[in-house]
Amino acid sequence: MTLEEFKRLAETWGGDMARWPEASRAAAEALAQTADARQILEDARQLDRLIDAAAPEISEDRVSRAIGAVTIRLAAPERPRFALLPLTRWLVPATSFACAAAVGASFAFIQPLNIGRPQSDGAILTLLLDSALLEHDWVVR
Amino acid sequence: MLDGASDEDLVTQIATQDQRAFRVLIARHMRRALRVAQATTGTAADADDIAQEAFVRVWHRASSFDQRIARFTTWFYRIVVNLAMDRLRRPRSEPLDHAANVASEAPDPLAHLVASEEQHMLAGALAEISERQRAAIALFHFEGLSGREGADAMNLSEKAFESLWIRARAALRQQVLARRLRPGAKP
Repeated sequence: MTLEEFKRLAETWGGDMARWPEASRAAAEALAQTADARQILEDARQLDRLIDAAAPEISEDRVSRAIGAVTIRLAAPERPRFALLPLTRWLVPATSFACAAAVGASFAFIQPLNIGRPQSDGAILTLLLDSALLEHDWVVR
Repeated sequence: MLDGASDEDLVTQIATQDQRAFRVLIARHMRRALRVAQATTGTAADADDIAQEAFVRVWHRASSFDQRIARFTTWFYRIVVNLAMDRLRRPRSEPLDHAANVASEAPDPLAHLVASEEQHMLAGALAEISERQRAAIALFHFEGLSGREGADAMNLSEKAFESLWIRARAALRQQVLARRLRPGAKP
């Protein structure tokens, strides 16, 4: 094992060689006797200590409170199953929309609108004549 | 009698709605759940919710645990990490409060005073790395899981977890160095 490999292992797994991959541990332990390797290990241990110091402190009181809260939650009556499903909150609006769409489609089928529908030439001519008759009213007289 | 039982045996008992087994298990692991959740999310309030929810799930889903596939801790940490990741995906307005939580519960006031500046700096450095990197640090470093166990808890391959852990450590080192050189810096 080269010193470079040793350094990579130390930077990866930290200064505690017991946590290094077993396959490389024997060779690493032999190299760890050298001054350079010892320095590398010490640097890694320094970072380990820093990381240790960053671990959140959890007080006994807080643990007890959390345990109590779980007990209360489990003792409380269970909510209806459907309320737990994330999709159910969309169920009411989605159903309403689907019903509205179905009603609209039914009306469209039963009584379709004529507006904008393509007309045949004969039908257009009839419409024009009818409107002319209504406007001038001369046939009635 | 239950106090000496293995975690896996306790879960088997919990699957039969054994409340005594549940009490032993929750007393054994609540602190770890809080620590991993807080290290990952950065807030004590989120950590409390997550740890509680994790145990509620253990109670309801104990029958789905198969000790032939995984150890209890691996299964449980996976629940905690997943809940923490879900929580972090939600939009949040308040900043992470690593600093306040890390420093607030030191038992010795003098030691706390001496260490507080270093802790504050570390907390800031932790808050700057990604949540997955924080989870990897929490599992491997704070909880002492092996690479294999950490990978299982985060639902990653061992190689992917190792890579995440290397980046986490390197990022934390970089953050610490930058903050020591320029206090308050965000590299």
